[in-house]
Amino acid sequence: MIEFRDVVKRYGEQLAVDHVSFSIPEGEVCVLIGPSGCGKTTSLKLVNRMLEPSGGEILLNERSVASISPDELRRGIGYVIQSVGLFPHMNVAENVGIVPRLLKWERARRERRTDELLDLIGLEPQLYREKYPAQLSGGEAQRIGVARALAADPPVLLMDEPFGAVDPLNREVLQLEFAALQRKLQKTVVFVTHDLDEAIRLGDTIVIMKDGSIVQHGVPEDILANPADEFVRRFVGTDRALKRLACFEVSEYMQTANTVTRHEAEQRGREPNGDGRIHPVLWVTDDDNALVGMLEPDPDHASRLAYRPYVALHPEEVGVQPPSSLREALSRILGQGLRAAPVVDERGTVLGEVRLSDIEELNQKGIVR
Amino acid sequence: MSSSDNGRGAPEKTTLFAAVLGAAALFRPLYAFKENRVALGDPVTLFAAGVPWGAAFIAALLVAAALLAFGAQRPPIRWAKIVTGLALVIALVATLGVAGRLAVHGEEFGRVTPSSGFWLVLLAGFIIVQGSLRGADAPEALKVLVGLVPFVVVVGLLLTGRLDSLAPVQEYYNRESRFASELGAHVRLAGAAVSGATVLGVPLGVFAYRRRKAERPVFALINGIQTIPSLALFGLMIAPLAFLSREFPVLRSLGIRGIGNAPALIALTLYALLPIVRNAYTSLAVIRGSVVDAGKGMGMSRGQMLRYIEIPIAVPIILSGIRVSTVQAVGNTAVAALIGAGGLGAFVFQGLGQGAPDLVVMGVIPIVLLSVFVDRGLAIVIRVLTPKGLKEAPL
Repeated sequence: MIEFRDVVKRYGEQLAVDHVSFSIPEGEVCVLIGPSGCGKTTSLKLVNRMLEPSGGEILLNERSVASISPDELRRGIGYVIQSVGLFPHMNVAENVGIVPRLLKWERARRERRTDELLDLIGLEPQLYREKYPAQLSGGEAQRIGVARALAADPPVLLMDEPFGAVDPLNREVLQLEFAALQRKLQKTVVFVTHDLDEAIRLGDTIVIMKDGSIVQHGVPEDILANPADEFVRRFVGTDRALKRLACFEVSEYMQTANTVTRHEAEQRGREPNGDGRIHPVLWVTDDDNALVGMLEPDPDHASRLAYRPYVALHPEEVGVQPPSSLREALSRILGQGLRAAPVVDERGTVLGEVRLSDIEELNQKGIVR
Repeated sequence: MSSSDNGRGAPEKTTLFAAVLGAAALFRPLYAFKENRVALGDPVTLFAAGVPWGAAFIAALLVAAALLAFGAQRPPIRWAKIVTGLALVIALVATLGVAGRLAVHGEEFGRVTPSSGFWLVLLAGFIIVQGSLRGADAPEALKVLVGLVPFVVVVGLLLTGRLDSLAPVQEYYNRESRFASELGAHVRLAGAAVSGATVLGVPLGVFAYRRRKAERPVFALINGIQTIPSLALFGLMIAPLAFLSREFPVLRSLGIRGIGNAPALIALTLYALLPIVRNAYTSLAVIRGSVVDAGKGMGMSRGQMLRYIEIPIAVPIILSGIRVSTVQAVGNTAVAALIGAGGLGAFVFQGLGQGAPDLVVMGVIPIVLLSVFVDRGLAIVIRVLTPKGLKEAPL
């Protein structure tokens, strides 16, 4: 656990960090976010004593970091920076194994650990062990930066805009990978960023800072629903309602879907399910239960129970998977002009659906004007 | 002209140029025959030198080189060019030796001076060998060995007396005992200057990097020194050192005088400073802030930073500075002979004074060879010490 107690950092007259207090429970990711110069990076650097506070103290598992020698403290804290800072004269294995080397692990153990970490971050050890930083892409270098920080299995990670220098497409991949990694490793993480979407995606809690002070501290969905003041309201943007949807998982809002097989749809024509009720949308599946199309009610038809003709669909275009966010679900719904999005697994099997009406309801409940 | 270019299109220009140069040079005088060391000499071409088999062989090699230049750029052809070039150099020197011996036969003070034809064909041979060796796909050690072949052969010819008729060789025999001591003096002077410049320059470069305010004055001073012509700098040393020597007998007893070793050493050291200071500065400047941050952030102590990061990255760059300095110092030391410091330059200035160009050549050749060997030797040391990740990559 990390606790900031009334921490102050002064540069001459200027207060870079102004009486900041908050704590991060073990195993959680706390994202520090705010405009440049708000004190987020300064706060992060106070944790591993890259900077020393002018007042207050920082506790790491109830022990003041000031009481631990900087080098010893840092060897127990993983540190990832935006520019990665891989050592150009060392290959990937040497880079990843550097902290264990500082900790005087024996060679065999170091090598085992290096391979394990490369596997963990999804880079084939045989292929990457001997490569030099200059031979890596930006995304690969950044992954190795993370692996290096994890090498000695520190309980705490400090990440200073780690994905900031990577192009947007790769950034998203890295974020998702890191989120998956964190679910497995349960580190206590201080994560600095200026990218709100990244904060929402990765943060268990978010600390919004401005001029050295905390303006709001809370879980992402609360901050987006109830901005504490005008500054936060502007910071999270007019699309905060949309952003907030990224905090919710599809699996939690999934409803039972009404399906009918293609075979049945063809046989029974425009009233395929014949249960006497009409559904806002009827998903059509093949014999393996995979999504192939849909039927929508036809209000103009004489029979109140009739559907419009069959529309073919591709599951990868309209479907969302259970771990996706409601934001993605909404974008599928709007993109296809539907009332709901089908929830599918990798093979396209229909698991359920997310309805537009549920999203609207959730939105109205949460957002306070 | 890359080695992967297997097409038979355009001829390979370097070899073709060298072959044409060599062919044209065949019609220039190979050597000049002199009755004594100050005589002007009669020019003699290769074809008139009385060694028909040598002339034919050399001409054939040049034709072969020209034909090979039109071949595809594949390893066998590349190596054929290298062998042709080596054979050309060796055949040329051997032919000159035989021709010289024929020419001076029975003449007590007779000697032959290599002329433009000899030097140009020699140059052509070196261009063919080095041009093809450079891009060859072979271990570095093998390339070095191949490059050494002509030196070894020429030294063999010299030691067995086969080149005795050559005027520079005769000049050498006349000064055999002094040659070793002047060579020693040259090496000592250049070595001491570079050592001194390293001891002074590396800390100065580090200082200039660490103290941003010192950077400008340090480089202004060192660049300034470099702009003073070497002759003038040697001259400038004379007056103050003569004064000090007169005023302080202690200094005089240490051998410090207005002329001789002391002023030469000081001037040479000052000249050697620039590349060393500059590279020491650069060696630290290339280490990115993020690399230092990462090292510090993972808990490296100051000593570990030095050992794991700064030294491995900086040492090869510092050594490159020392290499440039050393090559310069070997050349500059020749000028130091003017103020009585000795060294191989003494022969050069003596030769100039006596109007004996062969003596000048006798002094210049070892200076050139010394530079080349020091340069190549240090290049190998640097290559060995450069971490693999930095060899081809930008920092």
